[in-house]
Amino acid sequence: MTSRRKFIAGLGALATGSAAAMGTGAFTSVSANRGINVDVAGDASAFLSLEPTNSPNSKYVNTEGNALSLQFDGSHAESMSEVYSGNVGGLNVDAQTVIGELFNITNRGTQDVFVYMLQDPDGDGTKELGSGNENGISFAAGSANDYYNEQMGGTGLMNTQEKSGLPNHPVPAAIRVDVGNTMPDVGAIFGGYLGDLSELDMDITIVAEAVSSYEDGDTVPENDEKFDIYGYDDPHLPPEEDNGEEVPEESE
Amino acid sequence: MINRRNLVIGLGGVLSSSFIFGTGAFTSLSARRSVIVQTSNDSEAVLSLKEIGNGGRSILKNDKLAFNLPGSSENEYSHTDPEGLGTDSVYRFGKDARNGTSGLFSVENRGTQPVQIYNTQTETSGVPDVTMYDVETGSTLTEDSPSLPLSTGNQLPCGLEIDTHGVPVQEIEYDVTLTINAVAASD
Repeated sequence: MTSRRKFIAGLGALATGSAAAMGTGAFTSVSANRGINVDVAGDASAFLSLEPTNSPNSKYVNTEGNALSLQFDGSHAESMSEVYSGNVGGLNVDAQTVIGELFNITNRGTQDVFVYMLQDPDGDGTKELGSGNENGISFAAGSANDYYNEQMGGTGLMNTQEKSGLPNHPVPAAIRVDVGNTMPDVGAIFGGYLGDLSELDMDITIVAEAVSSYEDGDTVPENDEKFDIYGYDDPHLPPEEDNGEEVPEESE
Repeated sequence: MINRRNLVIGLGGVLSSSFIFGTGAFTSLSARRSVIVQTSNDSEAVLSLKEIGNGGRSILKNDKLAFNLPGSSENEYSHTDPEGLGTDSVYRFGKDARNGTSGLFSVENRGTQPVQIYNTQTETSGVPDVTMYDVETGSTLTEDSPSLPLSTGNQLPCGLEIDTHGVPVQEIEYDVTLTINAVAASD
């Protein structure tokens, strides 16, 4: 179901009547009305498309309305059990929780971009290059490839830009997404090395900046691989050789 | 379901549509989105960690699961008043001092996907080795051999295996941190 609303404003008063005044066929000014059509699309189909993944963790993504939001408190669902299994009060205190595969970011524009995220605690929509992860939350995506490991000591999305500054810095600390490509499986990290997690109701700002606006943007490789969100200590790595030792059970 | 809004503005001669929007290009874009997070004590959290039984071996302390071995009220039930674990031994605590059902604590998956459970211990030198085990199968749960995938809504009753080999007897109790890991089962 598509609902359309049209807003038409005609502004021509400045130049109208000039032809009558001159009367010669010459003109000093011409007024020509041209339309500007601006479509505002929902997140899923916008230039920078934000879409939940197909993973079970997309349950944390609220797509009600056109702008997605991330709700880890279950308040967007009719009942907590639609999101969680059982009655859940929230994320564990004093723990590191990783919730991967939340949403995908697709570049549907015409220029290759770098994408990063910023905390926007006061919700005024401006970029705030704060001291980092003081809220105990961060986001990650993209491939933790050699480039980012070397340059940044890891791949993150949240507040990475503060490490190298905004455009025109030689090394954009953000993840490159070329036209038509998708940064898959953006996930969230809570607590742990980020510091204590507390209850949050905050805004994050997702920013896409054209590669061309960076001095050396072209030299940065594109990232469209799945991010290994577990980082350096990957529990999915094949287990080390079992030395076969068995611990004998004694008594309680 | 996509909700579209068309905005058509006619401006006299000042703007040409092709110049600004005709190409569909954007050089910079920022979108603000909200994030809501709630935290909870261990027993009600996404990874629900609950103490089982009475006797004070497993407790909920400052919103977190904690253990005391021997239990803080061990003597009320055993009347044996144990002062500690023996040195150079491996103990298994499969339940609290007073507990009809088995399990010293339970790990319940209240998340969205199956997880495998195991523990790690960051500080191991000079302190007892602590390893979780599944009280039903008896298998220890380590990074190399974690639990079978625990489905959402299911819980795993666990015990603790304490290895005191090479750990000297001392008056002051050993303070050990146990890290309980739950990792989404790989596809």
